[in-house]
Amino acid sequence: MEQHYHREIKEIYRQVARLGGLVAQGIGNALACLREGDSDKGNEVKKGDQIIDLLEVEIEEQCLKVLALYHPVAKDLRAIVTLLKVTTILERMGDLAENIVNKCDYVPPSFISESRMDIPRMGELALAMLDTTMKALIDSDSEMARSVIRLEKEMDQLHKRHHQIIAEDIANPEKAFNKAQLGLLSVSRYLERIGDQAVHVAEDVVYLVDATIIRHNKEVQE
Amino acid sequence: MKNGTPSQTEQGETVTTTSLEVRDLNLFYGSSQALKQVSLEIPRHEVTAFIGPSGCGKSTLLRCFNRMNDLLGYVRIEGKILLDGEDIYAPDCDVIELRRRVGMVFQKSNPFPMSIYENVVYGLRIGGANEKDVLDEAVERSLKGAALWEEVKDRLKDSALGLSGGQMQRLCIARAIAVNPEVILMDEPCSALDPIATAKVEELILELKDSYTVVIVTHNMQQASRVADRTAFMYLGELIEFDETEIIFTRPANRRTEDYVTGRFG
Repeated sequence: MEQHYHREIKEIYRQVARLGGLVAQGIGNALACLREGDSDKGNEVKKGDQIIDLLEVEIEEQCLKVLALYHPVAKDLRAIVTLLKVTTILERMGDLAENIVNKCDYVPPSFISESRMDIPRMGELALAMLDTTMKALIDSDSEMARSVIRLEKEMDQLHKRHHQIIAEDIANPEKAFNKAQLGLLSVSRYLERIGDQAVHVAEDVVYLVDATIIRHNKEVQE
Repeated sequence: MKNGTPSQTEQGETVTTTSLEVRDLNLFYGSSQALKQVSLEIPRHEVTAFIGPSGCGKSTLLRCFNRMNDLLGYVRIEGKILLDGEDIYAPDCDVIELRRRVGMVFQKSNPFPMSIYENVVYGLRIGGANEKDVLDEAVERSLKGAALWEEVKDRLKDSALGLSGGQMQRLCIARAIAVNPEVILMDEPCSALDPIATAKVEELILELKDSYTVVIVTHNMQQASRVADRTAFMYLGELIEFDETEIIFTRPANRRTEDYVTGRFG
């Protein structure tokens, strides 16, 4: 028997899925802005972030209403707590997309292909991690969520490698070090952070489905 | 420490952590089976709640603990219930003494039509106590224990029927604890009370567990989650799940428990 508040929880799921879609679109546009120097795409990210902020507050209010009025327990409680946390994380991811756009002014599109940093791969990974973690949330699939956690290693390795590249370039007197390189390193950090946030969502999905908190526990994350 | 395992007190006295133990209990009302192979251990000095839909057997199980079901002639019981390791259904069990050791508070408060004082000392008088000092001490101790003393100490000779619903229920709790029981059974003790009176009784339940083992039947799941250390979910006469309350309400192991506590039942 479905109760009134179960329909409200379903509606919150729908809103969070929409939020996830907006964030993915923002990250995609931010990467396009970087790759193509298309400032319209950058403006779309900024406009999109305002919608993301409003939606975050709306979802939070809906979650608080369900908590206050219906006192959910067991999987309903885990769902509301998870949706509340995921919403905050998604909003932060939207901010990171905006941060990437802010670096576009310093990084000309040609620099991306010339650089030894593999930003395109990081972008692909970030979007794949977000997409998979949102699917895991909507389908309540903890195995799929764990697959996102496993992708974090590649993301971390890429970002670490980018640090090394910058360190080598600074140390090389024959190379002219410029602002674009630092800008690209910041983009690398933002993408790595987006990957981290996708992992946090994935950990919350594991809690939602398996009722186990796996955060800060490398052994059970694998 | 596992329930039921003996432990040593600081004084070196050996005690078990289990107050009531139910083993393979079956109960029949005539030909209809109300309890099916129920086994569980109720820890001492904890609050244990029984939850489940109407007719699941939770009140029936509660009433087994002081043999209230004996009063219905058509009840047949198989299996064992041990109070401190002693079989309460053994032929030589003194049922009057059992009911002193295992007190009960009902859904509807049932004060006797006499003074507040006489209500509290009723069980003591039945047991032969008549000394004023003893009775006075018991009245003060019991009413304080039931968090009612401050409200009634100046009108102990007034009729108990003039008390509010919440006060009457606490008087019934005072009457139950006046005879120094080990276990207090409560069958929906707050279902007829308003939220303020309910909060007072719930606070009292939490205090009572320091001195008594409390077993409570409730339809109010929030009440179970607020007051109980452990919760048992029953369905169609079976014990489906029995665990720490926090687990029952956050990550129950059984699908039927989850469906019930989240309101997806039926």
